[in-house]
Amino acid sequence: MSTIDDDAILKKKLAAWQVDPRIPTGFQREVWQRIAVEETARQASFKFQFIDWVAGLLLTPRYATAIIIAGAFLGIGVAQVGAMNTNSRSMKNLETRYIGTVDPYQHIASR
Amino acid sequence: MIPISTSHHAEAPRKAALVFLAALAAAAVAFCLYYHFATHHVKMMMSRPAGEMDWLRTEFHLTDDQFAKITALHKAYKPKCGVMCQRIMEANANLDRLINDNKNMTPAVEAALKQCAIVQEDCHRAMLGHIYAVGAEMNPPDRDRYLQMMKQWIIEPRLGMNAAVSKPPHD
Repeated sequence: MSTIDDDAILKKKLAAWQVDPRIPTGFQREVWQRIAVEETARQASFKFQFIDWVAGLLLTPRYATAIIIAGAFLGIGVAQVGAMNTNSRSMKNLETRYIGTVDPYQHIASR
Repeated sequence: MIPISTSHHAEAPRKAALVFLAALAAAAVAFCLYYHFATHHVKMMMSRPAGEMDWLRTEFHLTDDQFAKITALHKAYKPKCGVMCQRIMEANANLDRLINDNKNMTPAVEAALKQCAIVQEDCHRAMLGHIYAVGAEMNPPDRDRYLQMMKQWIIEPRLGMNAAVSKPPHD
């Protein structure tokens, strides 16, 4: 019985409950102030200063061109090493093929 | 609203990242182009049926005349090499059979061993003759390098009996 009474009281209280959502005065201003403070702190930190510095450099046409050319040269360098390895393996393979045409024992072994 | 915007500060790193991506793209394109052209010649040699002769030409700096003579020598040697392969496999197959059939040394096993040695000697003689003939067509430094490379295939033992026995006869 007491549970039914409790439910009735609760329902009554819930029905009477009214929410008055009032945003404190200057809420928006405070939020933007906090954002501004965070922004200032971010800009002040070494990491972001460094990023900004690098970004500033990269956005200079001279440096942007230089880094793209450097990228191209890096690609060529890596490709040269890779091509040398591939060619070396292929030439060894061709050498073995040639030996197989001259040496009967090697010819039998390679079949 | 207070006009504070983070877009200005975010814009520079974003643009810088684009520059960085452009550099990566340049690296990738340069890699692909260079790799393709640098390996194209050797890949073509690999794909050709007589690519090993192209290899010989490149490796030992053969002129057209030298290459023509060596190709002719090679064509003349090829049937001899085929006959040698046949003799090797027959001698090895005979020795293999005799080893399986006998539990100790018999005159037949000894004869088969001798036959293998004779075949090997004949092979090496024919092969060395061909190597000398090919080397004679080359320039002296290339000839020396060629002989140096080929002599290991004469001197070093490298083929077990089973490898030759298990193969079908040479066509």
